[in-house]
Amino acid sequence: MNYNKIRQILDRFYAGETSLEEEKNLRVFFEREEVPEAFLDDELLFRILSETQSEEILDQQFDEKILKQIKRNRPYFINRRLIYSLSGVAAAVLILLAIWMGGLFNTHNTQPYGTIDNPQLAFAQTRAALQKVSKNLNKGLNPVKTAAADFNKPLNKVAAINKMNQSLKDLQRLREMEKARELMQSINSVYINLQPNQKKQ
Amino acid sequence: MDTEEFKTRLLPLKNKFYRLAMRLLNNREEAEDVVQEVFLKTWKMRDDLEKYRSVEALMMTMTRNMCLDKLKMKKNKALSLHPDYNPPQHQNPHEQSEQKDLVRRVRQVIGQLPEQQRTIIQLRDVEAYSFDEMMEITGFDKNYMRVNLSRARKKIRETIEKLQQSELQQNKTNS
Repeated sequence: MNYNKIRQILDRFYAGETSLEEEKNLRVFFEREEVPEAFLDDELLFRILSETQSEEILDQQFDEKILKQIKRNRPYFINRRLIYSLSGVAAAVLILLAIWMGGLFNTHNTQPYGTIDNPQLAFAQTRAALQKVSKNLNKGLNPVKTAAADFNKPLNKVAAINKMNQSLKDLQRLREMEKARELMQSINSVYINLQPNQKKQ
Repeated sequence: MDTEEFKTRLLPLKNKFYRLAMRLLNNREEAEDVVQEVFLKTWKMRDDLEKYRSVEALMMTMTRNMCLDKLKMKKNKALSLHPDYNPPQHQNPHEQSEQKDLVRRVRQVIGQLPEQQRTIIQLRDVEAYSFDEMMEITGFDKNYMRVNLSRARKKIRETIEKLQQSELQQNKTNS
């Protein structure tokens, strides 16, 4: 390339007016040719800039570090989603359980057991029944308390969902409560049926 | 964007970000930290990347902004801790004779250019971006960039000239 031409392009280069193409030509010129003394300072400028490009590099370790962090992120998100959906399932199971138990309480033994005409006998029977209920109720309440305590644990540690199963087993002890409830209802019907008889007397 | 695409499309750009960060921070560790943060941030927004015309320009912008934040923080710290803080001055004049030292001195001068000029000369003369791309990265308008590019190039050229001359003089007095 003609040196005058180079000088012209260089002048425009220092004025900030060259195009990318012209700048590339200058780089090529300074890399390839033995440059005359008049261009030595310019050559050094181009060399320093191009050295910067090849010297300042990040190694393979950097890539590995980044990829490791990125991959670490992924299973974390999946786990969280899994926990969310499992907690949804658990909630659904609880709701079904509640409906099922509510249904049991409401539909069983709604028929009256007949009536007792003698108030003293009725009173004695009621008392006996109430005592039985109270006994069974106490018996039934204890497991409920322990079940409730056990139930809290898995709620605190959502991740350890397996523990839920244990407390669900404990929940089954609630059936004893159900027994008590059945007995209660029999008393209810006795009591309700007593009232009209008392009015008659 | 999946891991594979991230690895093949974005990771190879790392050195462009690193060099810009080096130009602005003059510190390898800090520059690497910034680039790492840029990649992680980009990965977190991987589902939104289609919205951008150029992910490379976006990441360049992120690199620059993070560096500027760091510089601001450092400046505040330096000001509060050392009110008379001055950047290190030139060293022993006897070292000047070496060409290697001359390169180091020129780089020092580049490192002391105003931040905008360092950004512009880095993007243009090292990474060979077009003015349109540079505008996208920095938000500077073309005229401003041309003026500052000219100033930076001239300053480097003057520095080289001055150092070469003083070297010649020294050689004369020595012989």
